[in-house]
Formats: sequence, structure tokens, C-alpha cells
Amino acid sequence: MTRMNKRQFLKYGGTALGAGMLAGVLGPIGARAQGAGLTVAWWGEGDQNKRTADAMQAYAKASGITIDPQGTNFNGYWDRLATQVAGGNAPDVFQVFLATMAEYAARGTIEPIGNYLGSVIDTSDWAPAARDSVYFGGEQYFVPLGLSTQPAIIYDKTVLEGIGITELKPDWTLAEFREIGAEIAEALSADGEQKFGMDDMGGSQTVLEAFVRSKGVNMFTDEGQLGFSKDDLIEWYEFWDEARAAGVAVAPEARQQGGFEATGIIRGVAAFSTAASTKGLQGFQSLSQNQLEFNPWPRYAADSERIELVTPVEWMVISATSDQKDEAAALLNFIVNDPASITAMGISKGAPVGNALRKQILESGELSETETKIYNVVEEALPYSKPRVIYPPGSGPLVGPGTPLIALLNDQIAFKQIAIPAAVDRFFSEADRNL
Amino acid sequence: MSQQASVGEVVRVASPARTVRQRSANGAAYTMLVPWLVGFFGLTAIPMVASLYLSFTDYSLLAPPEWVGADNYAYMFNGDYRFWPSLTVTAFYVFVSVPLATVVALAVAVGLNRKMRGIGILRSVYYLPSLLGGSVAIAIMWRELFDKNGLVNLVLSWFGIDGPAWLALPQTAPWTLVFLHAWQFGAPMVIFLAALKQIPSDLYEAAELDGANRVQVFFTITLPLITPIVFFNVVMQMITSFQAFTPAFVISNGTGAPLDSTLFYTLYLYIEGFGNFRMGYAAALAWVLLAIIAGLTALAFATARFWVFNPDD
Repeated sequence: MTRMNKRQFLKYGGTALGAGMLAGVLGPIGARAQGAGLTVAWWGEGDQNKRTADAMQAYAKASGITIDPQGTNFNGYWDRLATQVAGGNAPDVFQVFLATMAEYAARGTIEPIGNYLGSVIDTSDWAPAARDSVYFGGEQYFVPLGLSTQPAIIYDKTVLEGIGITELKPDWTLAEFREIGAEIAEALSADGEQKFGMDDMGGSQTVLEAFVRSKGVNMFTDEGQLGFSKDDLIEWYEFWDEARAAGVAVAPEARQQGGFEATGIIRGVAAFSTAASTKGLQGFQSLSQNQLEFNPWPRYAADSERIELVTPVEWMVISATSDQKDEAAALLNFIVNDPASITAMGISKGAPVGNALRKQILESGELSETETKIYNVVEEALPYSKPRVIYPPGSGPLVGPGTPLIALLNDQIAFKQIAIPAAVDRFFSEADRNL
Repeated sequence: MSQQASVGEVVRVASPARTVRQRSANGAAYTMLVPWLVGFFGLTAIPMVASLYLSFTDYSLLAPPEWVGADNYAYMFNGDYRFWPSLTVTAFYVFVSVPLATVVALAVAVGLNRKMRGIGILRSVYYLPSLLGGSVAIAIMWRELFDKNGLVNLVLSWFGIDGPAWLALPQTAPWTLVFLHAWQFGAPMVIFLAALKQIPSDLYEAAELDGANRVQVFFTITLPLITPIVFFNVVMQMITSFQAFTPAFVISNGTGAPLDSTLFYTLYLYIEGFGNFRMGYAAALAWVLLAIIAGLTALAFATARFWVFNPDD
């Protein structure tokens, strides 16, 4: 046997190092293929991630299966998920929401769950609003995690009472909303510093949706096209343009960037703000000493019916490439139907989808005052709720998260960069291209 | 004689034993390069070729790409309502913040180019902001500073000025990003400092004897002699500024708001790729950015001979 010289040492050492690096790169994929338990991915802010992980852990303990929980924040979630799916390495179970669920379903990345719903996943006690929300293209895909109403029109009750408005009727009209807004703006600005009645909600897709639904149409049709007309959108933008001009809605130069902390209610410059759903009340209330309440989006006119939208805000789905679909379905049943899971998750996903479960939790006395409000508003709105059509693929740039076109155009109108008819034409031509 | 020897060398290299040894040496060298080659091909070359291919496809990330020819490029120049605004915002950022950062870096470098007690510490302090770099933490701090109730407006209020909500107005938001860049002058400053120390002191002594004042000395000796470094700093900063992402992402919470006034090109690319599931289009945007940067760099080199000092001339 000859002694290894320096060159040979370097050569073999280098090869070994290279092979080691390759193994390092490929290693996790190999390990993944052998089945490393059930991977579950979701997003959440604050203590939501811990709470959801606790629910997973409770199930893992009870069932004996291994769960690899992958909770992250909202911004980081989507890049990671899309990359995992593109790489054929999707989590077995992952969370989706309105703006993206159809994208994933339409491209065959989500497993249809028709054969699990009603068997492995018990839907017998679910509210109709939850049962209606599982479909895309006639197929069942989505497991609703909780119920809220959308949008949340949040008002500062303390401020309103301070100026003598003691009650808001849940069946109020758009004209009354505008009128009350003007009254508040006038009262709050009495000390000389200009304040407003309401936040500018012209860029909010969920509020626009409530508006078009109040006129009897949906945001999108079953065929995946826009459900409202150019005239509807012109009316919408004109409402907000007029409200800004009259000092009823927050002026563009008085706005601030940010989350709940930048809203008119929290900054004390307006008394009406909006959140995507009623579970957003928690975030608002944690920042305010005042008493905050909800009212539904107003009826379109005095002779219009009251239309609410009780809906899940998040759903979970089973990956089409998962090799543990049965286990995944059993986990989802636990997540949405088991009291232990609901207790662990708190209000983070909304009120439970099961009617009896909702009642049981509500009566348990374990809910905080804010959580009780969120449960109650769901219960109160359910009789008026009509299902929406799930947003189709391609709707993201129009009405999705970030700065969708609906919001960008509202800002451009507010800053006088575009006229309303031109803005509406642009929205519809982009819709033609995207949908 | 020396020619013969070199011929001899060639003959010896060509001998079979030598060739085997040479091959073995090459083999060892290539083996040593394996980690780098894996990195180069795996992380740079193959992804670049793949992205060029993807730029000609409709690719959602969730389904296989479909060939669409030059459609992505055609749409970019003829239909995309956010392409030109994002390019304009980025160009504004580059062409305002790079000269500003360069001037600030040079001014601070000149100020710190002196012998005094504690100068090392002072230089380190001035370099600190750049150590923190384009980090998320700094961008968040910036967001707080320029908030309506932030430190900047607090200071302004001492002088009776009611500052705006800097980040909420499309007129002021891009300037906060420019200031952030200018504030991170440390890296070019250090390079300027090194360059200033290279200037022969006899030139300054001669100027002093001729009665030149400090301003004259700066503009006739210092500045001309360090133009190669100015050139280097400007080109490098221009390249990195076109690719800037983190500040705009953090300050606008990933949206480019208000009114797309902080929609940096790379942020838009990211939104299209990951937010709107248009990775093919995002790849096309990336290649156009590459072309823009390459073109401007070439332009900078073409103009260099008119203003950059070359000792060989």
C-alpha cells in the first residue's frame, strides 16, 4: 500500500468534499421522500403561530402521528409555498385564502376532498356559510378554519356617544352612513383641527365587494368574470371621491402608511375604519382605550334587503402530491371540529364552523369580551348571509393583497392623477387581460 | 541561448511522463474547483439560462411553463401600466441617491483624512451605518423615523414646522429611500479614504508653496487624482442601486405604496413573480433590468476617458 501524496490527498479530499456538498443539497429531499410525518404549513401573526402549532401538537399527541409544523408570517409564507409546490415538495396540508385558493386549485396542486367531506371530515353541524365555501369549479377542495363576517366596519362607540349618537342600526343605509360620517367629521373638527368621519375605504376590495353585493351582484360570476358593471365601479369611486372632497372621508394627505395603527380610529382622526374581517377587531381593540364595535356594511337603499357575508377567512387544503392524504384529512377534521383545537387556536381563525361547537364555546365563559363580540356578530349575521363566488385565478392583481389595482386607482383618483371614467376603463381592461 | 532553453522547455513539457503529471495536476485543480463549479453551475449559470428560457414562457410556478415567444417583452413595453412607473421610480432613486451618496462619502472621507487623536474611532463610527447595510432592521428604523409622529417630524416641530407623513405621500416617500441610501455612505467612504492617502504629499506641498487655498487644492489636485475611484464608486453603486429591494419592501410593506412611488423595479418583479403568479413575466423583467444595467455601465465606461484621470496618458 502506497502512502497518499499531497496531490492525491487534495484530489480525493476535494472529491469527498464535493460529494458531501451534493449530499447536503440533496439530503433533505431524500429524507422527505421517505416520509417525515405530516408537514403542515400556515401563516399567522403574533401568537397565532404558537396557538396553531399547539393545536397540531395536541393532535399529534392524541393520534401518535408525527407532524412537522411550518408556521410563518404572511409575507414570507407565499414565496415559500409557491417555491415548494414548484419544486414538487409541497407540504401535505397548507393554508390558503381567498386571493390565492383558486390559483392553486385551478392548477391541480390541491387534492379534491369530496370523498373526505362528510366521512372523515364531519360536516354535519357546519353552518351553511362554511359548507358553501369549499367549492371551486363545482369541485370540493377547501376546509374552512373558522367564520367571520366580511368586511368589518368598525366604529368608535366612545367617540360616537360623545357626540350624541348612541345607536347605529344594523340595517342602516348608505345615505345614513354618509350622513353620520359628515356629522362626526363636523363634531370632531370643532376644535379647529380638521378631522374626518371615516377612513377612505375606496381601495378596500372587501368593502367594494359588500357594496356590489348590496346592489344584488357578486364580485365575480361563476364563470370567473367580473360580476359588477362599469357603472357600479364609477358609482363606487364617485362615492368616495365626494366623501373625501366633503371632508367626510380621510383626505389623501392626512393618511398614514401601516396596519391597524395607521387607521383613522386608532389615530383619533376618524370614527369609522375597516378590517378585512370581524376578527380584525382584536387588533384594533388592543390599540385603543375606547370601546370599539361593529356595524354591517349599509344597505344600498331604503328598499334594499340586508345582505351579509359570513365566511371563513382561511382554509386548509390537502396537497395533490401528498402521500398521506388520509392522515391529512383526519388532521383537518380535528382542527375544525375538535373543541381542544378550537380552544388552542382561540379566535385566530374566527368562530368555529360547527353550530353546536360555536354555542358550546360561547357559553363556556372562556371568551374575552372582544372574542365574544366576534362570535356574536357571526351569529347575528348568519340569517342574512349569502355566499360569495370564490375569486377566480388571475383576480389577485385586481383585488388581491398588497396594492391591487382597485386600491391603486382609488389612490390615483384621490391624488387627482386620473379621472374616474378613465380609472374604471383601466380596471375593466386589466380584468379582461387577467381573468 | 535563452531562446534555445525555452524551446527545450516546450519539448520537455511534451514528453509523455510530463503530460501524465500535467494531467494529474489539472485533475487535482479541477477537483479543487468542484465546490466552486457546483456553486457556479448550480446557483448561477443554470438558473440564468433557465430564467432566460422562462422569460419566453407563461409560467405560474404552480404549473409547467408554456412557451409564449416574445409576448412578455411586448406586453412590458406596450401594455403594462406598472412597468414604466416602477422603472421611473428606480431611475429617480439611482440618479439622485448615487451622486448624493458619492458626494457625502467623499466629503466625509476628506473630513476624516487627517491625523488627530481618536481618528480611527471616528472613522469606525462613520462606517457603522454601512455595516448594518441594507438590513431589514435599518429599513424598519427608517420607517419609524419618517412616520408622522417620528423623530424627523419631532425635530422639525422644534423649528415650528409641521412635517408631513413622509411615507404616506407619493411626493415625499421616494426621498426617504434616497436619504436612506445617502446615509449608508460607509463603503465608498472607506475606498475614498484609501485613495486620498495614495495622493503624493509633495503635490500638496508644491501647491502650498504656490499659495493655493484649500478649495483650489481640492479641485485641482485631490479630485482629479481620485477620479478613478469616483468612477469605481459610481459604477458599483449604480449597479447595486438598480437592484435595491429591501428598503422599498420594508418601508412600503411590500406594496410599493403610496401610489407606486416606492415601487422599485425589483419589488415589482417580486410582486409579479410571487404575488401574481407570473414568474415568466418576472424573468423577462429581470433580463430587461440586466440589459439596462449593462447598457448604463457600458455608457459609464465610454464616457470615462473624458473625465477619469489615467496616469498613463
